[in-house]
Amino acid sequence: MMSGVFISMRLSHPFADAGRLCRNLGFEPKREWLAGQPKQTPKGMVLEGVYSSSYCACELPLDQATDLEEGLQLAIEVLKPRTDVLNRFTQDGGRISIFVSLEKGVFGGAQLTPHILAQLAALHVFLEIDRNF
Amino acid sequence: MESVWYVGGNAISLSDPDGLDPIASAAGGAAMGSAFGPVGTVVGGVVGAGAGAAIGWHVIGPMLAKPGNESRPTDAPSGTIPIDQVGLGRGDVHDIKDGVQNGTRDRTGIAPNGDVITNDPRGRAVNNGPADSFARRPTGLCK
Repeated sequence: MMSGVFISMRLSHPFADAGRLCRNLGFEPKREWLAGQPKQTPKGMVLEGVYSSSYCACELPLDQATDLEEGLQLAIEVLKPRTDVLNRFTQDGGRISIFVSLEKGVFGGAQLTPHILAQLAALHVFLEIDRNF
Repeated sequence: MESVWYVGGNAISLSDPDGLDPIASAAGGAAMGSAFGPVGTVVGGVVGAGAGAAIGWHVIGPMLAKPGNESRPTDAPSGTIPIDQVGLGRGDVHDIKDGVQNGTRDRTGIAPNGDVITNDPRGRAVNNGPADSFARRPTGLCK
């Protein structure tokens, strides 16, 4: 269990079904929509406008991780076997990111090794770190 | 280099690397003009102020402007405050940002009625509905 660190994966694409890829990877989307779909909240409340691109956010199975470095390494291990699929998705115009939120007063710091960064780069995955202290 | 080139002989105190401060620029210009006598001080000050203002407005300002999604939308509901200032746990903030596809540099706010407010690429406010729709438990923000 990571203390003060929250990690999810985000997939977006101009037209492809990001949620479907997420399921094919073995993850259940917690939020998804398709390009051109009318906007609505997760509870079905209709909002103004339509989505301009497809999107999916999902949790990754990172229960074993105790800190950010371990969480990222586990995420990489989960995604690495599907490198080809992920690379095809990004080559077609999609974007994959690991979205990390750090909790104020709890997160103590991290050191990301070149090995972790190189593996993320090989997967063509963005690393987004949201820190609002 | 002689100290006459800097007002007070201190270049650091007058530094204006962004070119945004016409006063500092004027002082710098005046200092350089002083090398040519009292008239040079006045002329140098005027030229320095003008150059500083022009550089700041036309060159540096646009370079420092934030992307549209990072600025507060001008048409956001009155009383909207940044999501990090409403007392939500970080996990809830994470879930809400995931739910509205907002990234690290996108502005996410909470309106007084608990709606999640974001920006569109043109900087206009987008209402994404109640925060409770995105969090795993009631946030206590929605009315």
